[in-house]
Amino acid sequence: MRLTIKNVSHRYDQVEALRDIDLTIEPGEVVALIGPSGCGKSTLLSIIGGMLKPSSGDVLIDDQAKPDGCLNPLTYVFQDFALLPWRTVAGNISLVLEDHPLSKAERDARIEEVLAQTNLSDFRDAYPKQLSGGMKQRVGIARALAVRPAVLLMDEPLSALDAQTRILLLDEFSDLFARTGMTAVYVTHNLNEAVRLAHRVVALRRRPGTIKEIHSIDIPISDRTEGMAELVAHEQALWNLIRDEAVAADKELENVA
Amino acid sequence: MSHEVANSTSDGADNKVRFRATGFNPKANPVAAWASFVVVIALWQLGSSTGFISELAMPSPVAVAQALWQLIVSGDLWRHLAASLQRLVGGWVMGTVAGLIVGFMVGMFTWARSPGVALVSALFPIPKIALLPLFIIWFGIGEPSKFATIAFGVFFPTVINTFGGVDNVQRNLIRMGQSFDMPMWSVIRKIILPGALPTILSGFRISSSIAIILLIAAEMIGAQYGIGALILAAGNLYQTDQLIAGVVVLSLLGLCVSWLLGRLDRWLLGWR
Repeated sequence: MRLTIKNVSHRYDQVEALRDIDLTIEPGEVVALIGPSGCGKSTLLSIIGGMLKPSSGDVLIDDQAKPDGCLNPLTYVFQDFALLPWRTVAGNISLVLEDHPLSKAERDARIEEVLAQTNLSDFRDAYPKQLSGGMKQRVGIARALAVRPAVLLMDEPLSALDAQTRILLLDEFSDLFARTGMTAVYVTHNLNEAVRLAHRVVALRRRPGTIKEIHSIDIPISDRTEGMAELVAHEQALWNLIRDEAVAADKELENVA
Repeated sequence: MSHEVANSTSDGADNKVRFRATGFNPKANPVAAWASFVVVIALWQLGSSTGFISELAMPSPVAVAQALWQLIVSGDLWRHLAASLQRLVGGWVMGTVAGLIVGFMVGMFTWARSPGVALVSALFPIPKIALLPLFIIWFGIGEPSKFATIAFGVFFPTVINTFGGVDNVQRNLIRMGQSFDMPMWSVIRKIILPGALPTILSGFRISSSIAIILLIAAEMIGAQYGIGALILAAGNLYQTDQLIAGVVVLSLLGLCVSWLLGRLDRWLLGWR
């Protein structure tokens, strides 16, 4: 599935969050959106998935090709996990399958499959409050995979986790993308995550949010390792690119709710 | 200060860091709970036996127990209790069902929001017992006016609690459901309803105690049977032992309701 973002602008009352964004997400590509807080990267992700109506512009699906058994082409993974506390791990995954015409056996098979993929099989009957942050986000990933998405929309999926868990999950994401060739849009403010996972890194400028530069990383995701010299160089280049923006964002008084 | 501590080399108590986080941490003690009943009743009996408390003003615990026993063996208690329970359950269920429906609509739909909140805010503060005469004109002196009073009294707090509960459901969970294309009815049933349930259940505690108050008030105004009627009749005849027996039954009724709601909590909110 190819997504084309055409001329998207968005305003919140007086604040112009995004202006004239044009971007194409190619099938099989991982695109990271980076930028300082307030640059509109999460706003753009919400617009891409149809969870926010842009003030102007459109997001188009050019190519309708979907994976087999796809139930929800544009599927989010949330920063705060968004798990129902009254459902077990398996129940949280079942939630997004129940409204589709799947037999009980098919549903159970999908749940088992994604639990196995995310190493959660032993936790199927646990409740979210019993799980660590990393486990909760694995459930979020499992839930997203259960609907066999065409494009995974990930909104700072590691930002709520501690540093060690972040490293573990980053490796798992990297494996997932390398193994499945999943199309994904990955919002983060962590440049390390961006250079490990993305084929292209889109750096946004702030107020109004516009694309400052699109930075390609031509190393296959499966070949990338933590601390690899080329990646460090890419990370440094990206930091030079957005440093001034980050400094300005840091000094700004909060005026956006 | 810091110098004094640093210079002190003795192992005496004065150079230990004092534990300062004491208190503000009350703990449950079931023995003390039961003992408090025993102590109060014993003191009461002592006061009655010594004549310090006049038998007419306040009968002794023994006399109250005897009156209660009399009510049980004569079968009067069951007649009164059955009449009261019917009204209580019927009125509470009617008010709760209506309140839940309206509360959900106010909580979810823009068109219901402002009119609903305005009407509920205006009508909630009215002591519902003031409307009983009106209900008697509308529905007659019999059971319907009592059901209406209780249902009306239960309705408003239920609406307020329900829409508060719906408001408190985390928006991100609703958005999550929508992002997976869950149909609206599924979002309501699987996300909003369970998310609002804790608040709704704590509202049941308030509405059930309001229902008991209104039950007794309505029964005192016009009823042949019912705990309220029993208490009023006993008062009119200066049978304070029977009066207090009726009050004890009310206390037990309240405890039963609260126990039932506790069970309901544990059953429905086990995930917390």
